[in-house]
Amino acid sequence: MTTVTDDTERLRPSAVTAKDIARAGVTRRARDSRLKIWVGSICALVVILPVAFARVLPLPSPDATDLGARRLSPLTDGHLFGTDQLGRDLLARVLFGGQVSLTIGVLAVVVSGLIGLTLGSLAGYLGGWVDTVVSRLLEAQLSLPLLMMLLLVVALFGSSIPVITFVIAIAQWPEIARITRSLVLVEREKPYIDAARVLGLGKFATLVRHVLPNIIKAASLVVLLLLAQAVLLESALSYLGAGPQRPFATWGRIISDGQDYITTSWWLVTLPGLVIVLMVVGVNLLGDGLRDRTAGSSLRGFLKKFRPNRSGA
Amino acid sequence: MSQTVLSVEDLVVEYPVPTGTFRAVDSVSFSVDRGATVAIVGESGCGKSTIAKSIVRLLTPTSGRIVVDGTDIAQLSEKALRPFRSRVQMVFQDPYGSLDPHLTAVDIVGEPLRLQGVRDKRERAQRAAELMDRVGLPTTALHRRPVEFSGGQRQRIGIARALASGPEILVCDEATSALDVSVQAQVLDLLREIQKDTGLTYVFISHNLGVVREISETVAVMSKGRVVESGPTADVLAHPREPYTQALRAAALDPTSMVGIKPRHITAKRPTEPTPVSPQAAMAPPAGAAS
Amino acid sequence: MGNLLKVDELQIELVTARGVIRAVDGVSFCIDAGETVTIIGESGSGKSTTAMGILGLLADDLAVSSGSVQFKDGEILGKPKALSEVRGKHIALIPQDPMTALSPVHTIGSQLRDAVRHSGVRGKSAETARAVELLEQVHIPDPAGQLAKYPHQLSGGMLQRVLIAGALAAGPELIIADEPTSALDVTVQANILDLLLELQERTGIGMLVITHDLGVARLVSDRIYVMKDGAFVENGGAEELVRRPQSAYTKKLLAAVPVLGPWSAGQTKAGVRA
Repeated sequence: MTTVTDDTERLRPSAVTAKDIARAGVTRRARDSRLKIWVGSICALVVILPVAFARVLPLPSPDATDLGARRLSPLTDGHLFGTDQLGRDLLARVLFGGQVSLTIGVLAVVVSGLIGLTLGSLAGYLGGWVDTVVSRLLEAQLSLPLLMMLLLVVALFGSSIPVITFVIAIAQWPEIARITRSLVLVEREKPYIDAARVLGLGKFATLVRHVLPNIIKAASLVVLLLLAQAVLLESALSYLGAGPQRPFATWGRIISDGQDYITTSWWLVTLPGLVIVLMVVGVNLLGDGLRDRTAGSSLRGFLKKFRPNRSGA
Repeated sequence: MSQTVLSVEDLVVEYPVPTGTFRAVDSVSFSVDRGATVAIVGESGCGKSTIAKSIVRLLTPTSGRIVVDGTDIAQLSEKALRPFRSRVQMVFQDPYGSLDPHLTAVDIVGEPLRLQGVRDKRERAQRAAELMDRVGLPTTALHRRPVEFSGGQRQRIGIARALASGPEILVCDEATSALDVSVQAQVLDLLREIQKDTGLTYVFISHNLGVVREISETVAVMSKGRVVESGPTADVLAHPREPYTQALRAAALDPTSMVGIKPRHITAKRPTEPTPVSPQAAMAPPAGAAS
Repeated sequence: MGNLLKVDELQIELVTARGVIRAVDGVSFCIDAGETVTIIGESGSGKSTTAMGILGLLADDLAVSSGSVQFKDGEILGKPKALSEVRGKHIALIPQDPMTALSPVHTIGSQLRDAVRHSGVRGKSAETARAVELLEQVHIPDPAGQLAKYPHQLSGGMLQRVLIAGALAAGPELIIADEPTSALDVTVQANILDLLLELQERTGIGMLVITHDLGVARLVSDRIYVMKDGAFVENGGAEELVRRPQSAYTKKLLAAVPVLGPWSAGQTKAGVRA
């Protein structure tokens, strides 16, 4: 005779302790990603919000020179960041300069995102000669020394804001295209794509309606991370003197203006530099945190599932 | 009056490989009458999935004819093929990969309707709800995403999607192979029911002889791209003529017909002893690419 | 009873993003030497988790195990030292998918030698000799020649034989086979199951087989445990369970298996080819 076990009445107590939950991989990952998102957002916003609202803040004009108040150290006479060699308030310069830097950064990323996503997905989905052309193009560009190339373009076409934006966008599209292409290549092999074709959906329609929506999240994260790189590139160009010309004083320009005083008035170089670092680190942390995010956004809501005696999927 | 709704004639599919070409399907022919089911059975690499993909034109065969209701669709261009797409649909093997993860059930089932010109969103939703109901899914599930469904439920969504086009022929490519045995039984029941109600014609690809026996009247046994044996399912499975079919049959395990406990040759004993198959032949790796 | 493996009220809970899931809810069974016990269940029943839990192969930051698992009267659940003593040497695992269970960048020979080395044999020539001997035991043709090949050059059935050879390397007393034939063609499956039964007859090892296939379970087992939602619902001798199942679930499973019926070889008609 076989033995039938019917234990539905007997409830065994859970052996999972709070300590187990706390050290579980999934809790750690949720906590880590949560932390990264918070810290990253705060760091980035600490920079972005003042920059965005620079006009409404009680700041002196960034161009107002005051030769009587040259190179004041931070926190003197109401100058939070001190003044530069022409007596201009450094904080005001950094915030207004940030408007230009960030605008260029965001525009460049949008343009490179569009180019990269389009070319990458076409290359990945269509394959064949399209893939060959796009891949060789992006490999060729990636093999060129970036900064040299950008300086060359600026030397040829001048350093207006549209040119700088375009130049940075051109610098960044290969990376986006490469990631998009890989994502599309993976997605393309999945059966639901075949199913769409069997239904009678055309090639482009399948790409737009089925492939792209499923890769857009992963691809956008890369684009977000590239925002930081765009700002850095702009700063590098400005530092080298190839950035937007006066009167626009972007972060790179401020640093290059202050480099002669690096030993005497450290704040002229260090404070703008710290602002850049804070923004870049903030955006990178935010991007990492978003990528690692587990399902179930808030940590408290997540932990609620581990109330004692709850089991079953 | 039964009529031939699908006729495959001398189908050949070749793939280029480093050493030349590999013939996945080697001159295969069969036909199916309206409302009937033909099963194509074989092990991995025999070419059965390639035939399935050829019938729905996911790939273009190298040569041969695939005649759907009088028209040869084997070499038609994409544009000429479009009106035929709705008439031949497919249910896929992988319930987890065959549904677009970012769409809801109503979108997935409604897509073929949109392709047929049903522009009104509400009308699509209503017809999708009817189809979901037809396959045994609650209409409350309409706005859920695939990730919230079980394997068997996803397969039902796949069937509803295939039915939405109003096809005459349904190709089931290992449609139940990834499902638990009890869920498999339910899905087979559903397919049989739909066929009874609508007179749909099935081409059922499988490696499982038991499933084949349940679902089909005719079977074609394939090995290495060729049809080894074919005929009425009951006949082929009860009295296999070819050694390969006999080997398949001998290897199939039917728990209810076994006796005793170990060793194998005692447990698997049949009323009539089958022709023995040498271990060497059964162990030889399949040649070339998988089907 | 239960000289080889004794599992008592094993409970495994998994800490996942969706909460605490009780994958295994208090299962008890035992295995003697020379005996084959099969745990059969559908997907999500917890059968593979049970096998992994017994061997301590579940990630520490995922699974919380409680209860008792005794191998030859020594407790091994939750005891890393005891587990590393026993794993590979006394209890061996044949993992699920042969195509992905071996490293693709190492030859069969080097991976088998790793298994052999783990059992105490030292020196390349001794290891190679033992590896060849193991491949012979699992009836692989031209064993010396296969050592130099890479996994992708072998078929699923051959790879499964290699995995079985690796499991036998240290002469274990118990083998846990996790879905040993699910990824294989049905004719290859028959040969692999033959092999496992032959090895058991020869060496008297105990076997724990995890499967979803009732036919496989019926063929190889002495006793079968039917698992559903983390708990056993019925158990008994293989023949008894299939002939006279008592629980509704077992009956449902058996009823769902497509029936093939009896058969006999038909007459070959000359020239009949579709």
